[in-house]
Amino acid sequence: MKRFIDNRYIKIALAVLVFILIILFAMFIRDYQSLEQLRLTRPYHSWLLNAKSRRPLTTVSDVNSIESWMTFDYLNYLFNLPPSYLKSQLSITDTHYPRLSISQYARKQNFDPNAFLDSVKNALRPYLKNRH
Amino acid sequence: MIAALLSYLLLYKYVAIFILVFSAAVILPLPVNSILLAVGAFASQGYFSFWLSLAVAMAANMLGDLFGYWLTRTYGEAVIKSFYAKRHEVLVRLEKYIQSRAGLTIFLTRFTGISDIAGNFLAGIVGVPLRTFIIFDFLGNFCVFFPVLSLGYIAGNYWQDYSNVIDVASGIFLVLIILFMITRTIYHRSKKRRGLGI
Repeated sequence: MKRFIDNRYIKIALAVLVFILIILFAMFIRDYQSLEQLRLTRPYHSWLLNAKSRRPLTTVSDVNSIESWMTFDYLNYLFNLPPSYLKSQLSITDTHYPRLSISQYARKQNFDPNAFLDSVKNALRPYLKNRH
Repeated sequence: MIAALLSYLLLYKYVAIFILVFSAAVILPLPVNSILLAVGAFASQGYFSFWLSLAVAMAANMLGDLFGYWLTRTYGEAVIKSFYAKRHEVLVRLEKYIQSRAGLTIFLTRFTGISDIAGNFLAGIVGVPLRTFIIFDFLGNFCVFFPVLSLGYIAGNYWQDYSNVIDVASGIFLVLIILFMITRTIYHRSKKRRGLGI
């Protein structure tokens, strides 16, 4: 009886695992296809596509890659900015600058995070335009 | 959550890598694959050093694994005895299985976050020798961390697109390991029954 119960539990466990495996494979195929659409499934292709993203970023369209988790220090590095450029453009008075993130600063100042992110991008665009 | 971790990474760099990877190795459910992909991408931009990041991540993960191993090696027996006067049959079988394939078990469990922690605890409870644990833990961690960091390095700005694929692939790997162990058990049982003429 015990052996019968054991075998039944094993079969149920197997069935559940196979079901989970099928779902995971479907998710993998879906995610892989979205990578294919972005032409990211061949390492060399990805390398070429991302060659531009290696520091420094120089064109106006590069500001679209900025996200609110990025720190001002990182932005200065990525875009090769003078250390105090963003501080003066955005009137940042926080003493932690540049070692704080865009979202952190927006939260401290009670700014709308998306609106402040846009103002960071807008502050960078003329600088990158003039650099060319 | 990943956004907050990324800010933390950018602010504290290698210290952040160490703390996050160590915490994940001990018990916290942190998205280590995503963190390493991001670090690889930052390394491709020159903001992090690839090899230093790999060394720090591996050292942190190995220390976390050793901590889990040491904890169960030291206190595991006492905890089990407080619940069961006699060792449970399942635990005895598990001990025999792991002891006969200690290296392979430790190596394979490095490939997914949950099994990594479980592997550390089991290795401590069944008494896998420390040297064996360290060698296969190192090999397993290298085989995981190096490809993920490299993928982040190649992906650059597109690292977030690879993050989902890697997480799902880890899940598939974990389920396949469990399926393999169960079908092996069924096979050996039926072989034993045939041998006994049942």
